[in-house]
Amino acid sequence: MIMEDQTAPKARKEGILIQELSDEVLVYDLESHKAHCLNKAAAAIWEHCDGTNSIRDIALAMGSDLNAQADEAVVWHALDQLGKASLLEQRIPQPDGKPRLSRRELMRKAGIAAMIAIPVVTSILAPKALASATSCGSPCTPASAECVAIPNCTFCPSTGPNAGRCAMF
Amino acid sequence: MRGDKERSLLLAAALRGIWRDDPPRLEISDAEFIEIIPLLLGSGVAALSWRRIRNTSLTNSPASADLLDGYRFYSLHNALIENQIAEVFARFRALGIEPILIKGWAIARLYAEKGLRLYGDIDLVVRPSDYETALGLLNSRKYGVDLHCGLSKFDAHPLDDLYARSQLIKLKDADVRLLGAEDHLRVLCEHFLRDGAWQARALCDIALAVESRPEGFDWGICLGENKRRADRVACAIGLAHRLLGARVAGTPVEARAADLPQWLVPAVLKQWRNPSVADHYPQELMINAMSNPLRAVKAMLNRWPDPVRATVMLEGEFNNLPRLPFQAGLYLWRMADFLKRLPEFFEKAR
Repeated sequence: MIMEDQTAPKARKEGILIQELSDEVLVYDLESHKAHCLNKAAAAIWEHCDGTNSIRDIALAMGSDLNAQADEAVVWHALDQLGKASLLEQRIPQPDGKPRLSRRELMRKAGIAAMIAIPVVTSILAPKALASATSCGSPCTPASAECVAIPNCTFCPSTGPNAGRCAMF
Repeated sequence: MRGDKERSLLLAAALRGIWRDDPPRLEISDAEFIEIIPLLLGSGVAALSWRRIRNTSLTNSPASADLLDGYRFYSLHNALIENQIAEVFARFRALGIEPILIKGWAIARLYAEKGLRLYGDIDLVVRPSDYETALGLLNSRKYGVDLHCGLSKFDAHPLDDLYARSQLIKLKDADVRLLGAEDHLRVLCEHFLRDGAWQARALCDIALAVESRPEGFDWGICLGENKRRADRVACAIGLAHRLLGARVAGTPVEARAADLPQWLVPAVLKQWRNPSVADHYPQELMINAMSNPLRAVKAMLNRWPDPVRATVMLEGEFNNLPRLPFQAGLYLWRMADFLKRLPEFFEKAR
């Protein structure tokens, strides 16, 4: 879908959970259950997408936030990624005649010193680290089916030394 | 190639003081750290490990990316769980039920950053008289709640006393009821040991709870009057001291920490060799394994209990006597329970 006002992108705020870390912002889509990681530049741009700021406004604000030079091409690069990640209310196509620059092209154009100002939105997958989140052996309600949701667990014994702990027997 | 035992020792070394706001310098080499990253991931300490290395050259190692991912996911997961905790407390209270939250956020809130310790499930304790109502609410909604009918499984203290010593801590708009610091430390210790001490993260929790205990912390309440249980708590804290460097000087458990049963530390290190769930809980139903003699034998061998869990489950003493009788006792108890339930399994399979 194309926005009527193509110069004032609006960040999606509904159905997402935002978690700010020291160097990046994490966004979890409660509908698609996908998680995204925005570096500082992408997060700054996303924050200024309030539906009123123009692309130029956003570039200026981002430059000010990060104390770095940012031009409209950088903002377009971010909007493209944010749109693909469904983090904008509507995806915004680039205006005619303005070719979309890749990250590599942006870096070449801006120089290595401006790398910090290159916005990056990455999708993150459930890591191995979560494997130990819940476990067979977790407390459970005897006779309930809750243990089935835990990998490799099947039932909640009501008797014996493991009563009330998800088990595999 | 390093052996399992050496890797467990490296894991313990990597976790020394890791719960502190300002963790001590890593005492192992970069190569050793990289080697044990799978152990760190499986042990539930990815985020803590990431914090420890994030300003070092170790972040250049591709293997460390999993630690960063862990930190990110713990942060998101915890944010989701915090919303759920606030919501569950509101819903329970609307029904006149006052739950107590244990483990999870109750201990994770003491770490320096939100994402450092995964909250996991929401462990809630309710009075036995409220249990059915609470269960009804949870069955009608999708919460990741482990509901406990009282705390008698973990603790011998009267529930009224636990409520009387409990505290309300703010989480978002909710006042979340937690155990008093003394009671919570005792429950953390008991849970760690009952689980067979295989989760290194849980020992970090114990170390953190000990070192961040509030002023006026009453060790008499924490250890309780039951000598055997008090000794178990002291041994769990002693493990946190011996393996992870938890500070226990000047506490009533100091002497015990210096004199743990000889079998205990090696038993825990053995548990830490394999931090995945699959290594600590049987992966095939006994009833299914019985269809094949070889699988049945394997399944029976897999059910041989570790000495820590066996001692706790059979209310044994943590002394220097051999653990074999406890392990055999628990094993036979479980097998007897299985045989008793056999008709029920056949009925279900029909």
